[in-house]
Amino acid sequence: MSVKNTIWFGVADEISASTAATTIVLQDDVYVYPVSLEADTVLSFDYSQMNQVRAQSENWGKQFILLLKMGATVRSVTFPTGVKWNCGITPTMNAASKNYLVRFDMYGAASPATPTLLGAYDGSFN
Amino acid sequence: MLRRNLAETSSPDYTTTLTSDVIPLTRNGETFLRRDPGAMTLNASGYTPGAGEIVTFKLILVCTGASVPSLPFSWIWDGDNAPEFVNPGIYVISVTQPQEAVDGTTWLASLDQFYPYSEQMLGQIEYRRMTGAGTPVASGLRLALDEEYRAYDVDLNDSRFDGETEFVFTVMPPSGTDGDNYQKRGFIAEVTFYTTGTDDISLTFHSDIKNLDFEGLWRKIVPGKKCVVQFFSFDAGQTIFASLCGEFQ
Repeated sequence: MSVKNTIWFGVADEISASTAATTIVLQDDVYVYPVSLEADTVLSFDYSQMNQVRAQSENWGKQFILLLKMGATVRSVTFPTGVKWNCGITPTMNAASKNYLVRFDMYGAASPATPTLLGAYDGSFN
Repeated sequence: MLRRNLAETSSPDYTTTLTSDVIPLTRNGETFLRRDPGAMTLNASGYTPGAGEIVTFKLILVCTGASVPSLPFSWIWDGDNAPEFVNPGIYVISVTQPQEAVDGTTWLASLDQFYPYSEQMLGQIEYRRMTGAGTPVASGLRLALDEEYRAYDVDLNDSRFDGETEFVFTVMPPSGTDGDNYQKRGFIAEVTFYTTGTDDISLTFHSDIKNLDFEGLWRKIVPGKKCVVQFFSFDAGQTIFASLCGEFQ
């Protein structure tokens, strides 16, 4: 918790996950990525636009949140291989018409950008 | 060697909130927050730095005046100016151990910032007493968030609240927009509820606030305990969620 700072953060345009594979393009100034789940899908992350953090010569890290929006039909979501889950628990998202929050904390070398991903289930809401 | 430099982006940083006066260092670059600290000690046994690695951590001490903290006597302070913690407020302290530059065991510390505790830290609270026709109704309490502050303390025994013991609580999103991106912004604010009085306080979160896996938007605030709730939004405050972070002594 930063005690004095702006409390605002960036939110991406909603991403439609309507095919078997969905790529989420991560950006420097965005913290939350809303994803509309319209098909069973496998998620992957594209780090190519994270120019600010990748430009650092030393190791880098970033946190972001996926806001996964489940519609009336429950869709399955497969997270990128290699995510290390908090307490070893992969999020269970099996209720219709719910929004799920999954937080990622990633770090890695500046180039090539193949960071380590730490995932944590943060809760759900209707 | 594992090192992490969190980039200067709009992503919020996170800290480890300490529930005791021991600082359990387990990785480089960590930030710890301790509210009303006592005699702080450092336990660095959980992290083994690489050869020549500069180990740093940050300490945020929230001092409400309930105690006067102390830090390890062996720390060497920038300009020999160890903070005396005479004023309540938030002290942000950086600590580093440049192993090869000194002797591998010496911790160098500096007070980076001090934010005096003031009414502004509490945000703008609006209190409204509501009474029904012969039936007591919980009074309304509304906290207007300030875009510069992520953390708020709310003493439900504040003299302004007339000894009320039942509240309906809500938050107002911070002001401050930047035109085109207005709808594309979110916020997170953390509110600590407590009472300095002797009565339990019933705190109900307004029905406009959505529930994030929270067992009922109602908490009983008991004397001596603090209840921390995060309020956040993904649409510039049009929809606000609440998430219970925890309750601690």
